[in-house]
Amino acid sequence: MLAKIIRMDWILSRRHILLNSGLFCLYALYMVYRMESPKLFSMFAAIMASFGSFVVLTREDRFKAAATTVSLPVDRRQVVFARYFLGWGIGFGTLLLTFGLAILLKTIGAVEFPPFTAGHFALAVAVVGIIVALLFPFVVRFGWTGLVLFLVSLQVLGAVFLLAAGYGGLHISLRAFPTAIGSWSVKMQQTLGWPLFFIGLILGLAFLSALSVLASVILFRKREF
Amino acid sequence: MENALQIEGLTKQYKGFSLQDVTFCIPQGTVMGLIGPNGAGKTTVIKCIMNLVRKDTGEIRVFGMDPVRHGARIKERIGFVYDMPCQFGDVRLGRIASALGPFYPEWDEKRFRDLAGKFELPLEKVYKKLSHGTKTKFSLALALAHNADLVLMDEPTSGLDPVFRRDLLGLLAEILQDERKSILFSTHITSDLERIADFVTLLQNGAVVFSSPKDEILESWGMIKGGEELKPASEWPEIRGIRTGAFGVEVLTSDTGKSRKRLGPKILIERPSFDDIVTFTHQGGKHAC
Repeated sequence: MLAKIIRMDWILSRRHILLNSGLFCLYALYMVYRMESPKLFSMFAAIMASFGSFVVLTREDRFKAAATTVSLPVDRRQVVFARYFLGWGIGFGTLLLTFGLAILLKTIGAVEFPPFTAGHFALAVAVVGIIVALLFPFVVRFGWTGLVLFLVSLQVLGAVFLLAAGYGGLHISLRAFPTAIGSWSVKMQQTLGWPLFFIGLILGLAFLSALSVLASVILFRKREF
Repeated sequence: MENALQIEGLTKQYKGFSLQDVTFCIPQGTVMGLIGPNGAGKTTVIKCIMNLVRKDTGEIRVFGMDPVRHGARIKERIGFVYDMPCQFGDVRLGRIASALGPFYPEWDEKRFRDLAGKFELPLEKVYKKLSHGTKTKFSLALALAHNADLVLMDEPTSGLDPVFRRDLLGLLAEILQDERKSILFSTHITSDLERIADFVTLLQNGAVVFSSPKDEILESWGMIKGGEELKPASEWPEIRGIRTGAFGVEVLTSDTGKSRKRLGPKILIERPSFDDIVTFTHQGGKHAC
């Protein structure tokens, strides 16, 4: 049944999936000119790639077609599973394409890219996994509006912190959290070595994704159409 | 006779509206017409059957199974026409059908193509370019192309021209030649029901007014026409509505026998249409207008 749902989503949205992924990929490559840090490029490429993961859900929301999907002979849990698989496929596929093209362009000497390593790719994979895991339940429950609301809320929260820091004397560094995660990751990688660190990363991502899937299934089952 | 659908004590609470203790059943091989004015709860009942909304209490059995626990198995055997058909607007009809068809084990591509031809569906056109009527026709073609045992249709004839409506009723009559097939047909165009329904359920404000065989309703309910002598009728328990107009008084009774006994054999009692029944009962019964 999962395959049938993925096939349906592919038939109904393939043009948009390919178009979005292609555009995100090209945009990420274009931005490389402006980025000297491979780490920054990896993060940027991952963020762009992960947006493609939500194409099917946001299109379904836009056309209010979710009622049609759940009136098909499918379990809602299967619909959520299928959407995750397709979302990961699109996100990781776009990422692979972006890195592949970057390497190709670098190899033929067309563009001077910053030197990538396997670590940079692992970082990008992790970022896609984390974004999908965090945002999917919102989109499953609230659709496109939910995604926009979530992102706008983050922006507003960021602005509030900046204002509070600028005018209120609040001493919170917005960079502290990602910097702490970054240094912790480097420390772990140095302590464990690459293979173990990579396995740990995959396990951590799998755990986060499992929680996300569980939350999405619960939310989607409660949703009324 | 087995029931294709059985609903008992169904309730669903919304802000400002509730379904109250809805109970009715559809025996296999029959057509049930679900009637009532807009906002009576027809769509909510159908959504509960399809598990698109969650019921609060009560029991729903489709082919003897619970639609929450056995949703997928049940839906394989249901042809569903939604009151607001929604598909991906920028996709061609043929492509939508090829995406949805494989979900049904008994999907019949040839049957779909035949229906599409009969309904003059432009399979190469994208969905959003269609009129409401053509969208409904497309939903009907999808619902009728997989040999469904129960066809649930929520206002399928609204937006359709009279010629197509008549054709559709003919098509439904064809489906019913197979005695295992059943149809639940919600509509406020009650003349359609008078042609094909075996049973009729009337919903008003979320509650069932009656759910009985159509002929029984048309036999027992009557429209009494007269003058001032009908004014006291508002006190009689079988009276469901009174209308006073320039041409006299019209009274809707749910028991013509009893009313005839009260008024004498000379009183004129006509067979009411379902439109009359819906209108009179909707006006809160005994108000004059």
